[in-house]
Amino acid sequence: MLGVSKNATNDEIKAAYREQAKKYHPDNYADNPLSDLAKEKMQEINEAYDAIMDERRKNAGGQASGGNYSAGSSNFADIRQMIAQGRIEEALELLDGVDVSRRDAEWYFLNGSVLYRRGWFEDAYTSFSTACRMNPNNMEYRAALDQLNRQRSGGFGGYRQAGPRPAGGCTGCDMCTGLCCADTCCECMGGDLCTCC
Amino acid sequence: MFGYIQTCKEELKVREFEAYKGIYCSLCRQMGKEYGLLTRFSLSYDFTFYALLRMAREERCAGFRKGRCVFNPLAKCRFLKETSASLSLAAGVAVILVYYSIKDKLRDQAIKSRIKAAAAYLPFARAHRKARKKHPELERIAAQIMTQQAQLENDRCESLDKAADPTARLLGALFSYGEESESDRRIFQRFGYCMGKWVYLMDALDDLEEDRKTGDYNPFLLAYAGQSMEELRENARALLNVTMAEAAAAMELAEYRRFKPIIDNVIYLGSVQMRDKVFNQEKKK
Repeated sequence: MLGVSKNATNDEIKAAYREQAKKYHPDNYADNPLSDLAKEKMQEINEAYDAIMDERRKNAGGQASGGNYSAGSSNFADIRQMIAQGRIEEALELLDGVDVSRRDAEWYFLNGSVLYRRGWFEDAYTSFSTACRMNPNNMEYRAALDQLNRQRSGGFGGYRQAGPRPAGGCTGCDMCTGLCCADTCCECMGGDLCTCC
Repeated sequence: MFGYIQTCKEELKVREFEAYKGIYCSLCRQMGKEYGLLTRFSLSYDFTFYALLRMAREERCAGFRKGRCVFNPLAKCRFLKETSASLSLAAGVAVILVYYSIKDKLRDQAIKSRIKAAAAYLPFARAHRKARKKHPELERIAAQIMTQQAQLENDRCESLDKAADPTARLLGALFSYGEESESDRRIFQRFGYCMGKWVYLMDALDDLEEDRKTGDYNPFLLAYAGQSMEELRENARALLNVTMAEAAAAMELAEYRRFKPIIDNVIYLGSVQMRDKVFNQEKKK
């Protein structure tokens, strides 16, 4: 499964595991109709990795796969559920039936998800962009648009990076860095307050 | 419409290149055997990839032997020791698709290409009848979808996604044809859909300059109307990228017994190289 020989070192196994896990990471299959298959693959890889590592009496467990489709509070909960079940055409029909005046950011996000799964990437991009414009603070919408932007700029998921990363916007990475900075700043301030002032 | 799915030759290992070429030559021979000498001229790399992708997942592969090329007696080619169902299917698919492309050219393009198409029509009409008998289901799908495609273009469809949908669905059907397991069927449906979309968009981009001058239908000119050529190309590139990235994501989910490095080469490198060729107007039609 991991494509390593019996005599591979732990580091080699880890590297092979990481490469595979990156390839089939749920993030690469967000809004993909095949996400369940990718999840199965991920599970197999995790199991293979765990089995090897158990066998080697080490306690390094595999990464849990997460990032699933979350069912947050939604005005269109039924449609959301439909998408999660893979009933794309039905979901699209329901979405189309929603009156234009009722189309909020959530509607555009769900519309984008459906179109993306259907392979209509251009219209999905427009929809995700609109959702983010209408509600810039929603992380779910932002993540979907970021993922699409990464692909648009020539990225091949976790497998190979054939192009530059997109500029601008707030990615997950930016958030972590931001949090780290804020944390450090606070600690600095705290230290200063105690010792100097 | 043909010739966009190719390898990045520079990055293939010699043995990979030989296997790829061997499949190309075997397919050429297969077409000659099943559908007549003249159909061999229409063979393109797309169908080689189609055969290769299927053979990569077949139970066994007999290996290659050396033989002579029909067109160039001095050249030695490699052929598969045994013919396979994939090869025969790829030959049928090639004949059916080329036939419809000829019919399409007969209808609405410049006089020069219409004459060329007319010359090719007869042998292909005969070959097409044979292919129709052998693969009636494929023929039915192709015929139905080609009509839808022509209809959309007649209506001057303004949505890129909608305009590419018939071709995308056709390749989805071709790539997933005969897949037994539900998951493989879904994987290759998605893979084919994205590949078909990519091919359609590449073809439209390739014609962009010409269509702009002649005023012929081109979905990019309508969908991105009002944009500068630079903006249009940037948006088109982004759309091509996401389409191929999704094809790759689907492709990675299937199991392959052989040829995986060649498949990777086509998807990750060949597609990028071809995209740049079209953008730099280096691809000759």
